[in-house]
Amino acid sequence: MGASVAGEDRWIPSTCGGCYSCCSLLVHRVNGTVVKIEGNPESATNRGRLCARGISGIMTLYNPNRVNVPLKRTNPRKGLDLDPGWVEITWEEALETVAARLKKIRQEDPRKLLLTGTVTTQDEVPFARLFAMAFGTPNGWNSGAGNHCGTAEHLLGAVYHASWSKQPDPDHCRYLLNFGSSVGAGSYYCVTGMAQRIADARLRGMRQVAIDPFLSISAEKADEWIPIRPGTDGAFALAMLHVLLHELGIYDRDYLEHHTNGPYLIGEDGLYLRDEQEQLPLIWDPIDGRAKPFSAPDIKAFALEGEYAVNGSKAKPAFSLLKEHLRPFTPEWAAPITSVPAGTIRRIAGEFGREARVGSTIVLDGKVLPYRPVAVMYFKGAQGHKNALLSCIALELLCEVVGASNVPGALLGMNACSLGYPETGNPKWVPKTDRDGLLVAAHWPTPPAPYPPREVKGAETIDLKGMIPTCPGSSGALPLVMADPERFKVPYKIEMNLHLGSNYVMTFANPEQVAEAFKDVFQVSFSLYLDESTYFSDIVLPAASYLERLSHMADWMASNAPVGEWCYHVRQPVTEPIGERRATCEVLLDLAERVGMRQELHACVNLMLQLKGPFALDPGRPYSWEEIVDRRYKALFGEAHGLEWFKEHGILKWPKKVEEVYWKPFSSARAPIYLEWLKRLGEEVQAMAQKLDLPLDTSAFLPLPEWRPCHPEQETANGHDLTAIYYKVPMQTFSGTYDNPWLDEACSIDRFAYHVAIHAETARRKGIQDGDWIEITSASTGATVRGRAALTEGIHPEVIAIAGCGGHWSKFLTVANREGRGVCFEWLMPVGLGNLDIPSLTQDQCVPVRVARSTSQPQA
Amino acid sequence: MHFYGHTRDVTGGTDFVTELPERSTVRDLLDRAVAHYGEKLRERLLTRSGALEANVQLFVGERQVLSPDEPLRDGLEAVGEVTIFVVSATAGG
Ligand code: SF4
Repeated sequence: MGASVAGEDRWIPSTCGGCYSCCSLLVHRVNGTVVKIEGNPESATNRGRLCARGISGIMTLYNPNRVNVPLKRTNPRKGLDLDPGWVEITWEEALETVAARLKKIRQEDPRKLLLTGTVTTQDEVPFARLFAMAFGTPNGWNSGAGNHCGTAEHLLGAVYHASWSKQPDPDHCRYLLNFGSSVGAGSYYCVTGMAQRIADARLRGMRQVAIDPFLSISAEKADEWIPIRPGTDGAFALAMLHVLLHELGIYDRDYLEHHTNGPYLIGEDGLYLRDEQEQLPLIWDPIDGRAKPFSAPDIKAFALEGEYAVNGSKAKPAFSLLKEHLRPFTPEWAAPITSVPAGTIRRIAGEFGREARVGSTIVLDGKVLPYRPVAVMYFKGAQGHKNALLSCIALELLCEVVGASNVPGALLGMNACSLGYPETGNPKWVPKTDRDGLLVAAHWPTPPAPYPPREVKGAETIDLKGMIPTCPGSSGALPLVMADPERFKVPYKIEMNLHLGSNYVMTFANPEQVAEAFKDVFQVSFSLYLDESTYFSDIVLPAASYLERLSHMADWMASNAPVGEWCYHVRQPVTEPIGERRATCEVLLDLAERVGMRQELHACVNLMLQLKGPFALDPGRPYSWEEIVDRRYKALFGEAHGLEWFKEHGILKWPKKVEEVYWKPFSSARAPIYLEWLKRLGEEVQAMAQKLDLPLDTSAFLPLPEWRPCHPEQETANGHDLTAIYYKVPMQTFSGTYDNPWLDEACSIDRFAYHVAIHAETARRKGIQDGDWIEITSASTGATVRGRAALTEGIHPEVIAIAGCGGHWSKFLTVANREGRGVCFEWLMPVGLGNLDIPSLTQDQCVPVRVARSTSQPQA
Repeated sequence: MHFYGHTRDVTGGTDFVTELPERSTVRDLLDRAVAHYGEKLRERLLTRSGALEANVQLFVGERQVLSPDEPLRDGLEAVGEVTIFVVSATAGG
């Protein structure tokens, strides 16, 4: 048997699915068995490197805890620790059961279907979205990333960078101010590629300052670490803006005039003054001494300051209002809030402002461009707070006032502009403008982009996004609305959840409250493991992992490095699926046929994947998953670059153009330094909330940023004297990788990955020693979790830091569920409107806690 | 006329057939559909000022229409199928 098999020794190109960075792989298969995974050196994304998760993917493939056959529950009762009583069933029985449910719901009201996904299914979720769209439901939710990710940050990514997110320019940046993000250090986008590039940037002299409550893996690589109280980054940024504009007078006048709405005239009602004819925002031309539409061809100059009388109304340029607004936010004001000395804030503002080199230029590819080699990065850490949006606006304005936005050296929208593969011109997207001249993203992973916002329409969806269209990602309100739709005037109840790998009970907030929302829902899970969320499943389908499946989207835009080359990858099975595992997208195609929704699915696929002409799917016949992926590649890259070409070559790459990477000088789009539209939208949301009798705090829909505390002072009473935060570690992706034994080993030898970081002096005061078991009690939920203390000087004395999403309890995860495998932070966080930043529906992720040495200390 | 996406709870199905006079606009067609399915459809597809909602994509044949006031017939092109997609950002993040 198997003479040919015995001789097999192949390296197969594919793409990692350990996180959303999509690193290109070379997988070594010998006699049908995967024996090694390496980074593909040809890839411009990861340049041959992988992180620990990528290398250990082999252990996910062969983990004996994987689900290998379809299962159905026998225990009708559902609960966090109630054994579902799994029994094996055939695929046919499973699919017929699921299809029957889907048909019934589609007949009654398709909105009763929910889709839940996560980042490790980041290739499958987009296709499942098309399935959901074709089905007719608007309801979806990502957890494990979505809610602990960046809804406010992504919103401002659209508004300021025409992109889902952003990166510092690794080729030219000279001063990187990092407010708690993991860029270049193991999480975030383009992880391995940016880690190399940021390391290279530091070698060539880029200075990096980390402003972070914890000396994290990212912060420890900085030249300077400034410990800050959680949730006060916005105050720090406001004080820096004060120093720049009021003390140093550093701002980029030319950029503000031509690339922001800084010159737009704001009336006494806080809204734009508009011309009567076309209703365009007005600016003041000081040479002609009159107001003109912002786009008038005869503008001789723009006023940025002063007060003007226009048609009997008084008005000021937006920049002037911003400057006045910033006057009280001095470093002395910010110091007691942030716990950072005023002198430090002033010094950082000065370093940032001077290094921005306002007025300087650089010649790239024969084009003279502004050179602003500074960037401000932030993500979950700075934005995961009750004051999310206003803090993020303040952080964005730092780059905007000095013109460090989408020009060489600056903060870059993550692949905001693509002119396409030279042979086909696809994929193509170029930032656009709206009627008010403001920037509009041309490409968005979950269309439509959040700006311009949809009209406020009340509770159409189960996540409040119909009412609050500024939330661009997963809504922090979903479990709340789902548990009690009537209260939110949602006219239906979720009856079924298509569940793609998201361990939502462990990756959102208080598991008991989340479980309450899902316990009465018929749940169909496409799962690798029987994790905590599958305790709520009715059917579990054995999903193929990323090493066993073909993807249509192994190259999410976020995966491409911001500079260098475009690089599109293949993700193909490197081995036959083990047991009865099947790829989720193939199963969805099967279900679409059984439900009778092929016409709709093909129409949605054609639209969203831009399959046109000869590549469009015909509603008259079914297609295999391979055929669809082949058509997508050919539609993008031409007939010669179909799936077979990609399977063989692995990647297609070509150089990025200067006008793609540094697109802002080539665009007439303006960024808002005064968010007039947000003020208007807030008034609409407020009116709708009143109409529906919902207690929504809409006070954060403001045109200019301010700072507010996350928690009222009374929450710190009763000895809740510390703040718990959580952060990402590069060895794990949310909760989904904790059962991987190699990663378990890596985390076990890391000092903090499974332990709770606490300041040595704080610990001493509380009688806690290194390695002691401690109990952490939340002021918000009252819950207590246990973990082991890791004493360090590298943390703010008022803070404890918990890594990742450990603390598993599923009896089916025999690696992850052992004692001492991290702490489940979610028990500390409440589900509730009071814990949300309403404009972005972001959860607050810092919790007042009480910490004490545990009375029971297990023997070592 | 075909409806795809977040309209099914209103339309109950995908296809709607009607006849309109020469020189009708897209708005005329939408009015006809609203008369059939109810005001909820208008709310789903249009803003209060009558523009297409940001998440609605409308095609007359292959031609994407950005304003409902555009004519259904563009020059000599015959009016074929009108397709409306209501896109929803399900499961973002
Ligand atoms: S960074 Fe993400 S995609 Fe890259 S190797 Fe690590 S887990 Fe895989």
